[in-house]
Formats: sequence, C-alpha cells, structure tokens
Amino acid sequence: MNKREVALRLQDVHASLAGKEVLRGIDISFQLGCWTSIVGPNGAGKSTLLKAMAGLVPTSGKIFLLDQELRMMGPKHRAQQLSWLGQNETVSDDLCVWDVVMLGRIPHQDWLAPPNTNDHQVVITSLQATQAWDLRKRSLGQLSGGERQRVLLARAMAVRAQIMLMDEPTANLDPPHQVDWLEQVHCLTSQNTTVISVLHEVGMALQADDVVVMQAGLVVHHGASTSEQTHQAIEAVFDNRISIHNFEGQFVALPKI
Amino acid sequence: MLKRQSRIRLLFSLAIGFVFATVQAVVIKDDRQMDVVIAKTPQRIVSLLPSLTETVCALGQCKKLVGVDRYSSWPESVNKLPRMGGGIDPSIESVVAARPDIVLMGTSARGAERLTALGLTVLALEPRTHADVQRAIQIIGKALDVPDKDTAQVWLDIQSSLEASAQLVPSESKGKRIYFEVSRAPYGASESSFIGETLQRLGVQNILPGSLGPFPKVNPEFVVRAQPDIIMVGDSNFADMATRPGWQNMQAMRMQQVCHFKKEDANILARPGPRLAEAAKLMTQCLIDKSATTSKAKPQP
Amino acid sequence: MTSQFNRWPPAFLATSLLLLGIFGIVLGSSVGSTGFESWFAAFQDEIAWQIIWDIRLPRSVGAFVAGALLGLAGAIAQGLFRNPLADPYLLGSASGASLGVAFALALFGGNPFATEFLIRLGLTGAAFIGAVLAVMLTIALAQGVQHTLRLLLAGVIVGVVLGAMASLISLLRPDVLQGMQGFLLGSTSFIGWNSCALMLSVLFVCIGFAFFLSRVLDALSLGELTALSLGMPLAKARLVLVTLLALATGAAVAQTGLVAFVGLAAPHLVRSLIKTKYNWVILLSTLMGGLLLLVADLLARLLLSPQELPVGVLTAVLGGGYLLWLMYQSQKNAAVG
Repeated sequence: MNKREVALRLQDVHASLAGKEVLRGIDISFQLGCWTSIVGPNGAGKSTLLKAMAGLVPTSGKIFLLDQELRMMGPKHRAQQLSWLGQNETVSDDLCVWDVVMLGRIPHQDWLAPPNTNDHQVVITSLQATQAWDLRKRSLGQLSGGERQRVLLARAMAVRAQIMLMDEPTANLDPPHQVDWLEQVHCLTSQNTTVISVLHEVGMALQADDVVVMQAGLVVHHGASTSEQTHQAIEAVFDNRISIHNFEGQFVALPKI
Repeated sequence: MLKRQSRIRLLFSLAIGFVFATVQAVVIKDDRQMDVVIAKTPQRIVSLLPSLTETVCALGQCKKLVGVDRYSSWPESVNKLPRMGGGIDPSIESVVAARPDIVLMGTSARGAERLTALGLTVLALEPRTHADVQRAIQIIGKALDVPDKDTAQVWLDIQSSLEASAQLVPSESKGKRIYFEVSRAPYGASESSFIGETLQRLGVQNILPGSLGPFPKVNPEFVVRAQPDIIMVGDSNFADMATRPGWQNMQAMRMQQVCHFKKEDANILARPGPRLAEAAKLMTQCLIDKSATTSKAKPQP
Repeated sequence: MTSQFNRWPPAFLATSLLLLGIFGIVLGSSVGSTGFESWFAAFQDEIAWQIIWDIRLPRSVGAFVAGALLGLAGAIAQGLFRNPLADPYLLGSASGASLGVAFALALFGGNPFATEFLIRLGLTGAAFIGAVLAVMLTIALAQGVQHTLRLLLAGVIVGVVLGAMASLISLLRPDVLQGMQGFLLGSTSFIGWNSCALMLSVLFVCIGFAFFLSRVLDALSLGELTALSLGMPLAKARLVLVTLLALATGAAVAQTGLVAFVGLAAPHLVRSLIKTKYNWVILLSTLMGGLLLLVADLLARLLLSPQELPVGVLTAVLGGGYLLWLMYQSQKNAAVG
C-alpha cells in the first residue's frame, strides 16, 4: 500500500461520446497494488473514465500503463496487463460457465492453441474464488442475475492482469457475495494487483484504499478513503444529501433527512 | 485381280459414306448464338416451349415427340405425351430418361446449359416476332430434315391465311385504333410485338407505339387519353374493366366496342407460333362483330 | 468441458450429422421423377445409370454443400451481429443476386454481344457477382464494418433498393419475370458436378477462415467492448467475416437461387441440441444446414413426383416448423420455471 509506483497515469485526457465532451481534462495517477474506487453522481463520467483507461474509447491526451504509453501497446500485450469488466454488457446466453471464464485466458493463449493445464488451473481458481464452481456446467441463460455477475467476475479475474478495472462489480450481488468480493479484492491487492472500481454505493466505495471523486467530467478529489477531506468531497458532490459516519472502524454513508 | 478390285470398291464406298456422313451432319446456330451439331435426323424429340411444340407438329413431325412441357396443349395428341416440367423449370431427369435426339426449348432457362452439359443436343429458340416465327419454322425444319419445300409451305400457308383474314376485315374497320390488353397490371401489346404485327397486317392501328417495347406496362390513364376505338382483352381481365377509374366513360366501353376472348382462345393468341393465322382469324372476327354493331346497315359477310 | 445441458458431446453430434448427410445423399440418388426406385434397376440400364451418376448424385451432393454454405453463413452472421435473427441474406446479398439474375435475363434476349459474354458467365455467375457487389455496397454505405448497427441498417437499405431495381427491370421486360420467379423460389435441379466442385472449394476456404476466427466470435458473445478489452482485432476480423459471409452466400445462391430459412434455422437447431463454443458451432451449423437442405430437396422430389415442389417451400416448412416447436417448448418451460 505504501509503494510509490504508479500503475496508471492519465495526462490531460479528454473524451467525447456522441459529440458531447464527457471527460474534460483528467490528470490523475493510480498507485500500484492499491484499490481505488471512483464515486460521483450520474453522468460524471466514471464509466467513461474506466473505458478510457482500458483503451476502449478514443481519447486525446496521454495514458500511461506502467510507464508505457497505452496507445503504443499492442492489443494482446495490453489485454494481458489490463482486465476490464463492464457494466450491463449484453452477454449471449449460449455459452456455459466454464467456457465463459475460459475466455478470460484468451490474452495469454496462442491464437489457435487449446487451453493448457495452467489455463485450466486459473479457471478453477477463479470459479472457486467467486463461489461459482458449482455452476460451471450450466449455461449462462440458466443463471440468476447474481450468479451471472459472479461468473463475469471470475472471467475478469481469470485474465490474471496486473490491473483490474471493474465497473459496478457488485451489481446484483446479495450481501454475502458482496463481502466475498471485498475479500477477493484485498487478496488481489496483497498480491500487488491494482484494482480500480466504479461503485455507486458509497459505503462499499469507502472500503477501498483510495477514493476518486468525479463530477461533470472532472476529478474533484483524489485521496485516502479514511481522510476527512475525502468524506467532505463526497458529501459535497452529492449535494450534501448524505453524511458519512464512522461506525466501529468502518465508514458508512447515511441519508440526511 | 479380284482382291484389288474389291479393295478399290471398299475404299470408294467408304469415301461415299464419309461424304454422306459429313453431309448428313447439320450445324445450326440457335438463339443462344451457339452452333448446334445434329449428327443424324432426330427421331425422338422433346419440346419444352409450346410454340415450338406447335411448330414441330405443323411440320408434320408430331409423331416423333416423346415429351413436352406442361403448358403445351396443341394439337390434342400432345396432351397424351409425358410432361417434363415447364420451360423455366424442366425436369432434367425426365428429359434425360426419354433419350431424346434433340431437345427444343426457350432461351431463358438454365436448363439448356445443364442438358447440354449432360450430352444432349439442345436447340434453343425463343420466337417473339413474325420474323422469328418464320425463322423458327425454317430452323426446326432443317434440324428435323424436313424437305425444304414442305417447310416453306408451312410459312406460305400461314401467310395466305393471314392475307385471307386481312381481306375479310370490313373496310370501315381499317385504320381503327386498337388497344390489346395482354394481362392485368395492365400490360398491353404494342406495335413491336407479334400481336401488334398481326394487327398491323389486318390493317388496324395500335394505340401503343412500338417504342414502348413489345409488352409495356401502361398507365391506365394513357389508355383513357388515347381513346381506342376497340379494346381486345381476355375474359378474365374483362370482368373488372368497368371498375377501373375513368374507364367506364371511355368511348369504347360505352359503345360496347370490347372483344373479350374466351380462356381457351388465350393460348392461340398468346403464342408466337404456327397458329398465328388462327389468332388473326379471332381478331378478324372481333373486328367484324364490332363493325356490325357500329353500322347496322352493313350485312354480315 | 461441456454444459450439462448437452445430451451428447459435440464430436458425436458432428459425426452423426455427417453420417446422416451421407445416408441422405445415397437416398437422394434413388429418388427422382419416378419416385423412389432402387439402384438395382440402374445396373442394367445405361440411361438409368447416367441419371443416377450425372443427375441425382450431383444434385443431392450439391444440395448438401449449398445447405452447408448457408448454414455456415448463418452461424457467422448470428455470431457477428450477436443477433439470433440474423441470416445470411442480411447484408443485401439476396437482392444483389436477384438484380444480377434480372440483368442477365434482360440482356439475354437483347444485344447479341452482351449475350455471348453473359452466356459464358451464365445466370450463376451473374447471381454470384450480384451478391458480392451488394455486400460491398453495404460496407461502403456503412463506411466500414465497425458499427454493426450501421452495417445492418445499410444492409436493409441496399436490400430494398436493389430489390426495387430488380422489380423495375422485370417491369420493363416482363419476359424476365418468369425466370426471376424460378430463381427466387430456389431450386437444386440444375446442379452438376462442376457446380458441386465450385461450391465445395468455396466451402473449404470459408470454413477454414471461419475456424480461424471462431475465437473472435466467442469473445464477441461477451460484448463488443469486452472483446476489445481481451485484445481481439475486431476491425480486421469483422472485415474478413463479412467477406466470408458474402462469398459463402453468393456461392450458394448462385447455384440454388434464394433458399429461405436454412441459414437462419441451422445455427438455432444446433444450439437447441448443444451449447458450445464457436469452433464447434461453425462446424455443426455447416453440417446441419447441409442436412436441412438435403432433406428438403429429397422431400421436394419425392412428395409429388414426377412433379417437383420448390425446395424453398420445404425449407420454410421444415425449418420454420421446428423453430415454432422450439419456441412453444421454451415458452412452456418459462411458464413452468
């Protein structure tokens, strides 16, 4: 956590969607091995920021992935370093769970090569980590929303990338599985994986190491999740309709009625 | 001495035979612009176009037909022959199974290609005008080894029959303007079609100029504007003609100057084949009937 | 590892489809203008032998290969556009082929110089060229293959416009109408060994490339952005896949005319039996499409012999009937579950 190395650095990044500017000049660095969560109101540009960092939307400005410029990296190399999990991507129902998670190994496989023993091992581990092991033979269409999300998480984890970008990873997950996910993230960061997640639930977001607060396409605040300035920034960006309280060592956000 | 003589005789007869063989082989250019080689006089004929079937029979070779398409209907004897599909969708298998020496068909089907590839002799003709009909008769006559004068006679008979029909047309009908409707939509027969040529022969005019193509799809308004003197149409189309907007007021409609042909006669009128003269007779009868209506004083011929 | 939903492994299904196809081809050589007749009659008669070897056999093989091409194209289309309603004719290839045929037919009876070139090209060549040009036009209209929605829209536009042009030609030249009608209904009656060889070579090329790109289609099933994030070269892959679509559809349509439903139904039928990755889906859809068209062709020749039903009618009945039954089944299951 106290490593000073930078995993991702954005320099004056702008991005537009359908003619409208969504990211209006982002300058930010993410620390290696840290879990950073991004919060902000709807339309702040959080998902777009994540997509920009994954190289999925055209941007102006520079993005550095571990000191290499993202634009210069070949797609396969980038895919091996970066794992991206989107929000509400329409996934077809036809594949079975095992095959879905195995797709996460694509960046590490030769083009026509079948999966090797290492790939199998990774898929098994990923499925077990998200409690989806029992579902492995079922097709995606047969799963509930929460089960599906766990499978997609497993897929993202199977990439074994150094940097994980996740957009609403806990969507549809019931509380026990949300806690499981938290534990997984801590496990990942302890192994030096950088996790950057967009979370709309403030309480969950405050579990991270760092918090980035966004509003209207700009970064308003970037600091430790425990610091008072961060809490004030979060409250401000939500029009002070919430207040953040310390409760037995953890922070919770309560509505201000 | 004898051996030498018989050898010479053998060589001589071989030479004659060779000459005969090459003379026997007939090469004809068909409508596909392909040279069709007919090695010996065909004894088994398959025809897949009604006008060509009728031509074969007009040349007196009807008994050599072993198969026809489903639309051929004249003469009666043809209806007993096995049917081999249509012009556009021939049953390749049935045709091959009939072991024909020659297959006559139209040009617009892929079947010609396939049958030729299977080794059959295919002669593709698609007559569209009077000149085409004459040419078709000549070509088929040559292919079937019909004596030239018999072939010529067939066309001469048609011509004289046409001439006779033209004579029967009452003088007041000459120059009348005709609208001949071929099918619903409406499609009409213009001057450049074989129907138009027959009408021209009979001395009447066509409201549809040849520049529109042989069977143009006309705007019904055009017909109303042109105010034809007589309308010729098939029974099935005639039924709802009065309901067409503006048509009930047309001169021809109001004065009952419409000839509607029976369904059975439709085949005669629609085929550019040896029954051109029959078609002319039907049209002539129409003209006579309508002239009798317009001029009550004129006695029936 | 396969889903527990599968009753049998993919390799088993592939082998069964292939064996059924071979059986169907043998059966097809015994069905003809006289209904069903055994091969024994052929041994005595030279003409009957020619009928079996030169007419029925290439026709049955051709039906299988054409169906295979359509099944392959359907699988590619459904994977590429991530839409279960996609079929091979999506990008305007059907209308392009119709226009090509209308053009050729119209010129047949006209200018003799044009006719000679066209005779050599044949209706088949005209249909193929028409299909491929139509897809190229669609790509040009959509300004590349990047946006699938734009591609689909452009395909619809091209389809409608070219179809209208074909109708216009048949209007100006009514004698073209009958020939076009025959083409539109679809028929296997003109397939000879040359046609089979041509279709087979196109099939092998297309299947090879499709196999090579099956990984991209799998990744696409997770979503376009996810596929990109996994490093898939989507732009290049899409271009190649659309080209394969055009080639396979064009080759099939050139020989058999427009046969409906095979491309749509074959991948669905495969997926109703087995859930697996695209490398298998491609192979199985190919075999299933071949079997579908082969069976339809057999029935077309058998049911009303010596008359023949248009094969397109039967593919619609067979394919559509099964899909309806599938829908009914899934509705029943949904209601219960």
